[in-house]
Amino acid sequence: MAFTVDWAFNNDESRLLARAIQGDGDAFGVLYGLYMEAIYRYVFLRVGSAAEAEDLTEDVFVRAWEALPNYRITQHPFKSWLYRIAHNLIVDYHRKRKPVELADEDLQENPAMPSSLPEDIVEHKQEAGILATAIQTLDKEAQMVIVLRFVEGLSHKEVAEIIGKSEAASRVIQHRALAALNEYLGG
Amino acid sequence: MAEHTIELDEILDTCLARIRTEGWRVDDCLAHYPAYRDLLEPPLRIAVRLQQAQAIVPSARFKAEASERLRSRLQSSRRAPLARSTIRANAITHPIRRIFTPGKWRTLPAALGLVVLFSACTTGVVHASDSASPGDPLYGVDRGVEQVWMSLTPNSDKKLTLQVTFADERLLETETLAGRGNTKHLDDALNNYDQAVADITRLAEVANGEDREALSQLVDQSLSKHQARLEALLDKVPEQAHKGIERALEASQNGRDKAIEAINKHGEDHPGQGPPDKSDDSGPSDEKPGNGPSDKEDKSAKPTDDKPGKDQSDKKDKEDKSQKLEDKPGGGPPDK
Repeated sequence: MAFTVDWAFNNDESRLLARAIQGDGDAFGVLYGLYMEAIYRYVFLRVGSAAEAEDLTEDVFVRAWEALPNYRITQHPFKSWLYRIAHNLIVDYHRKRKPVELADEDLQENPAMPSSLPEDIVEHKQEAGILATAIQTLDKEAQMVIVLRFVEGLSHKEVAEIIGKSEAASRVIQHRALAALNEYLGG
Repeated sequence: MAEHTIELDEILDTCLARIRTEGWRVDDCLAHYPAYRDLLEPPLRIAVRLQQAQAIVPSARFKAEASERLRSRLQSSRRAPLARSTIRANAITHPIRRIFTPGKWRTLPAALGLVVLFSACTTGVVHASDSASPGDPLYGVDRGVEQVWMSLTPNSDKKLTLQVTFADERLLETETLAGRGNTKHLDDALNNYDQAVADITRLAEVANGEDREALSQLVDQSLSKHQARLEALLDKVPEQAHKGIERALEASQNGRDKAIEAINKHGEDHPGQGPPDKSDDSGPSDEKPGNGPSDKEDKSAKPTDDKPGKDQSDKKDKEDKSQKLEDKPGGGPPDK
C-alpha cells in the first residue's frame, strides 16, 4: 500500500493557497509577494500610470482575497485567475475614466527598468511610457494577449485560458496586434 | 491563413527563445529564416521591444510599503483574516478524525492527548495566540499545539510530511516578521526554521519510505521553494539580517540533500515494502530556548500505526478536502 501525501499538499503554492482560502492572511501575503510585480507590470502597461497601477494592483489582491473562498484550486492556475481579476478591474477603470495622453510629467512617475546609469533610467522610463501608450491603442483583448505573451511570457494555451478563447484565436489576435503596434511605433 | 499564422508564430517564438537564451540578435534570426524575412522582421522587432517591459518594476517605496498596506486593507475587507491558530484548529480535524474512526482506536494516551488539545482549544488560550510569531508571549502555546499534533501523528512517513508543513510554517513566520519590519525577532524565526529543517533530515532518516518517490518529491519541492522564498527575502530585509537568511538558505539546501539521500538510502536498504515503523521516530527535537512551552515530546501519547482502514479514512479526507476546495466556481470570464 503506497504512502499518500495527505493533509499536506505536494505543492508549495497550493499549500499557501489552501491556507489563504481558510483565512490565513500571512499565507496570502506570501502569495502577494510572489505575484505582485507581475500583476503590477500587467496593470501598468494597460493603464500607463505608475500611481494608478499601484492602486489597481492592490485592488486586484484585495478582490482576490475576498473571492478566494470561491476559487477552485483545480480549475485555473492562481496566477491566471489574478490576471482575469486584473483585467476586469482595468476594464472598470477605463469605463470610469477617459484615457489620458501621457505628458512629460507623467513619464517622471513611470516605473524604471533597472539600470545603473541615470541616463539609462530616463531612457527606460520613457520607453516604458511609450510601450504602455502603444499597448493602450489596441483593443482590450489584444492588450491582454500582447502583455501576457511577450511581457509575462505565457504560452498561447495559458493566454487562451485567460481570455476564454481558443489557442488559434489567441494566435490570430497576437498576429494582428503585432502588426498594429508595428504601425503605431513606426517599426 | 490559420496555418500560416501558426507557422510564423512558431518561428517567432523560436527566435525570441534564441535571442533570450543563446544571445542571438534579430538579424541572426532573419538570416536563419530567409524565406520568412519580410514577414518575420516587423513582428520580431516589436516583440523584442515589448520584452524589454519585462524589466518594469514598481517603485521601491511601493514595494517597501506594499505588505503593510495590503495587511491593513485585508483587515478592513469583507473577509478579515482569521487568527492562524483558528486555521490550524480547523486543519487538525484530519488526524483527529482518523484516530476516532471506528476500529481505529488508539491507545489511551492518544485519547488523553486529544483531551489536552481540545481543552487548550476550548479555553481560548490557543485561539489567543493570535500572532503566532516569535516574540509573541503566546507563541509557545502555538508551538505546543504543534508538538501535540506531532505526537498524535501515527507513523514516521506522516511525521516527516507534517514536519515539512511545520518548516513551511517557520518560514511563513519569518516572512511575516520581515514584512512587518520586525528585525528584533527575525533571527529567532530563522533559527526556528533551521531547526525545523534539521528535524526534517532527522525524520527522513527514520522514515518508512513506503512511497519513497512521493516523500522525496515532497522534500525536494518544498525545500527548493523555501530557498527561492529565502532568496526573495534578501531584498526585503536590512543588511544586518542577511547573514541569518544566508545561513538558513545553506541549512535548507543541505537539509534537502541529506533528507533526500536518507529517504532513498532507506528505500535501497528495504526494497519493496517498507519496514515496520520505528519506535524512535519522534517528532521535532527540542526547540531553541524560549520558544516552545514544553520542549520534550510526550512519547507516551504517540498512537500506534494506523494502517488498517487507512485507505478508507484517507479517501474520506481527500473527498472532504476536494469538496471544500471546489465548493463554488471561481471568478467569471473576463469582460470582453
